[in-house]
Amino acid sequence: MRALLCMVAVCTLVACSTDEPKPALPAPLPTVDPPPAAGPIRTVGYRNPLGNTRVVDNLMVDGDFELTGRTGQMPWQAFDKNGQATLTYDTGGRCRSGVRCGSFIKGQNLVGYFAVPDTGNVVVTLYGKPDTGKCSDLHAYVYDLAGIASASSLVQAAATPDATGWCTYSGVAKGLAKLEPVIYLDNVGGRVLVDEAVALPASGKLMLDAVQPPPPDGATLARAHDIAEWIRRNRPYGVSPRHAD
Amino acid sequence: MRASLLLGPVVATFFVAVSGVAHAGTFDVDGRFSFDTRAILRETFVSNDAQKAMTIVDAADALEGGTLGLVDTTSSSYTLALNLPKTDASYRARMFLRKNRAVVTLSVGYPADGGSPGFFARFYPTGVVTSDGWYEVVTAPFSFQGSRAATTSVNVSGNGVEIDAFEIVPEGAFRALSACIGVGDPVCRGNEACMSGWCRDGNLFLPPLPPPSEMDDVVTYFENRFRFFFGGRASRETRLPIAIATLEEMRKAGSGWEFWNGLGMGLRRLHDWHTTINGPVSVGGRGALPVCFVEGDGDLSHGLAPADPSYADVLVSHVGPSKNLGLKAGDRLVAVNGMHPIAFSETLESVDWGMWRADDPRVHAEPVERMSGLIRRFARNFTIVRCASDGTCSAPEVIDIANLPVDDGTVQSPYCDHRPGYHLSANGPNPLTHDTYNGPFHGLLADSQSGENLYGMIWDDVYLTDPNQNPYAESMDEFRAKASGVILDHRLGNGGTAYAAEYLTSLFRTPKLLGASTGFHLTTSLYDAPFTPAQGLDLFQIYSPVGGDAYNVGDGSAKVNDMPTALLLARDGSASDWFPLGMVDLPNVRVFGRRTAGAFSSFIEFDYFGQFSWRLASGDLVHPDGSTQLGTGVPPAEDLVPKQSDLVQGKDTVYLRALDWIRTCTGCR
Repeated sequence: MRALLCMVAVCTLVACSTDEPKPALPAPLPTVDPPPAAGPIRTVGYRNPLGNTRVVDNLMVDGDFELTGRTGQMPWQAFDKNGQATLTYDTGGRCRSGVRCGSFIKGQNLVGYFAVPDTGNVVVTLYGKPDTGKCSDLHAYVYDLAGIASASSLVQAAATPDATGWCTYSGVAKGLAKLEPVIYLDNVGGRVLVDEAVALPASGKLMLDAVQPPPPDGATLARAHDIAEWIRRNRPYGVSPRHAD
Repeated sequence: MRASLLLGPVVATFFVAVSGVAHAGTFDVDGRFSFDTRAILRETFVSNDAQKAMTIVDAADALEGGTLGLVDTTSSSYTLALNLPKTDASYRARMFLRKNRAVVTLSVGYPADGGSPGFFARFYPTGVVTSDGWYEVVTAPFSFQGSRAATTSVNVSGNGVEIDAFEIVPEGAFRALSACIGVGDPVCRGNEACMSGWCRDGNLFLPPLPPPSEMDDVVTYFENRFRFFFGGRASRETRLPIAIATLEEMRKAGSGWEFWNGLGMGLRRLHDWHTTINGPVSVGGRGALPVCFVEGDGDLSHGLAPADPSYADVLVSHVGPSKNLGLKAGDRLVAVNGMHPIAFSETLESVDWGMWRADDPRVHAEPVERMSGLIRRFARNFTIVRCASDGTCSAPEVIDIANLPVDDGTVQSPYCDHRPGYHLSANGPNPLTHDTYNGPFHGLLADSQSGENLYGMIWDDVYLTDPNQNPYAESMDEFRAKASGVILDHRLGNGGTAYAAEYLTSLFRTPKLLGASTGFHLTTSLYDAPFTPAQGLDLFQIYSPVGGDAYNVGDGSAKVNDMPTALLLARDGSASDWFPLGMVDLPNVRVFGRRTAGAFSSFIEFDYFGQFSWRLASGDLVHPDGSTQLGTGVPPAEDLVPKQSDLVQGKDTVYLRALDWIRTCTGCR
């Protein structure tokens, strides 16, 4: 059983062979474009304040940071060297979906929970907006908090952001049924906004390309392991005192 | 700072069509903001009256006027006093925020003139956003009785959040609150609920109704949060289908109240101890009723009011020092609105946002704990039987809610901890306030005779993450060194961490692996029927080797041969389920009291604007044989409740039985 469960792998979407069906990605949301240099001082738009709920079967608990608080056992949790840290945000049209997004600084790690089906693979996509303009500031992984499945990397689609400033990170996660899958983020540069994470069952048969994304290094795995330990030890089993009216 | 009343309209030049959702002000083609032309009050945040919670900041990208407010309310919140016209009208309040979320609330207070009570309205995002990070938040339209010398303010609480462009705009038709007599009173309209005697506009508590183009997706999205992440084997099998059917009704909602109360009802109908809602819908009760109730045995009064076959009797455990209607320990709460009190609590699913139920359907201590608040908010009347220390009881007496003493702010309500008394010889909880949340309390029992060395501990929380900061170590060290018998009074068990539950068993039993937590429910159909023992065994084999997930109780150095130990339970859940699970079926330990809640999971928290947050239970405990535990509370060896005949004489039935057992038990040493 354990050997079977360890068969987790991720390949980049671009690295998968071309004759296989591509997993469906959510349709892009209308964006609030940054104003031209000599144009309006700002642009105005509308977002569903609950996030990209058009992806009704998003397996992320809260891919859009709209239902996530700053501390506690939330869909996303931030960590620093002292344990759980306060998750900070940015807002409005600076975000990619909804009215809030994660504002992720160097020295922190972010953990975002998602579900997987009993069988089959899961396509994971998220977006990061680095202040430095370098997509490599954000390292993204799929990790099993139970420590049974092997961790794997998500891969950035390009070295530099798209015209709206966002970088895309994606991959295919396999073999996480019955385990505790999370997106695990590491920031090695300046501030990065994170938003619109989507996990969906992969449609069709996916094949692994010979070119695999590099696995997380030892230091990353050790850090992720420490965070997983912290989560398990501090996992709340209870209510706040004086719950009653 | 006091917001100014406009002398004339501000001319808007451009309307940005964003959706059917109401939005503040207008933006011209260059993105410059102007207040709504109809605004009767606006605030541009150019000065401050020395409130530390907010500073004025010059900002080129302020929405209006070149300055904005920076709110940082670590120790206090920012309050903006409002001066609305002294006429009755309906308004909507709006503002813009940036850089973080803030809890923004508009409060209206009225003098005690016999009219309708004051109210508050929460601000929620509309979805209007700007490229420089601003987002709009609004209240629902609110009816304001300016003719009643009202006081009005807006309170902002947040950290590092920028605020700008506050305005109040006439919107909707004025409608005074209607008085009502109880839940379901037809005088209340579709967007209203009868709470504390008045039809409350539910829209003021909750986010707006999603636009039609989004509503179905939002409903399905929430249904899938339930499907993907909720519960364990039993709760998914028995309650999830009911909750999903409830969420389906949200598609027909015609107001924000109907929509979001549908989500609330879906959560409440999961009947799960961890699955609770905090915040958004909060209405104070009427009058004073500083009285704590417990499940009990009304043995003195069954001739006057027969016992219910489904529920235990409800008795007064302890009361506050004044304005308590003369109620005292042992008096019996026979009925609320003519129903058994627990049955009454179960009729409140449509309005009681604090509803709290155990996973095990046989367990009802939670609503009994909340009974005073439920009566003050939702009841028309209640029926009591008063009994004297000589065992005589008076005929049932119906008390109308209108006759409760006035709560003038001096009422002292004790903590309802299911403990009629404390029994430590010194340093126990305060018997007036019942401040057991400050525990653990421990020491020699007052009843310990010379040479008996009987000790006790009273505590509510089972919380421990760092062995170097262990609040229970002193107690355990004392018991190990001195005790020949122990009574562990955990009749209020809030849970905490599994690690603490493990630790608390370590003095009392030898080691055993009892099971494993399965973590969150993160495999979409993990427990779907048919769930077989083989599948459970598979989960056990996965999680029992994982540090922190295995539930290992006991210790090789446990004091099992010369220290009989009684564990008292009444309202216990989660880690306060796990701990008793590790204390049953042992010759040296006996559990007295009530079955635990069966809440053998953790939970995922969700947090939205307006202090609207909720918890969704997630996970289960799987045993080495593959069976699951969620939904089944730990049964006591002796199912005991306080007897009315004991309470009226100041006796603590459950404690006295435990004391007798540790003195006389055989095979326990």
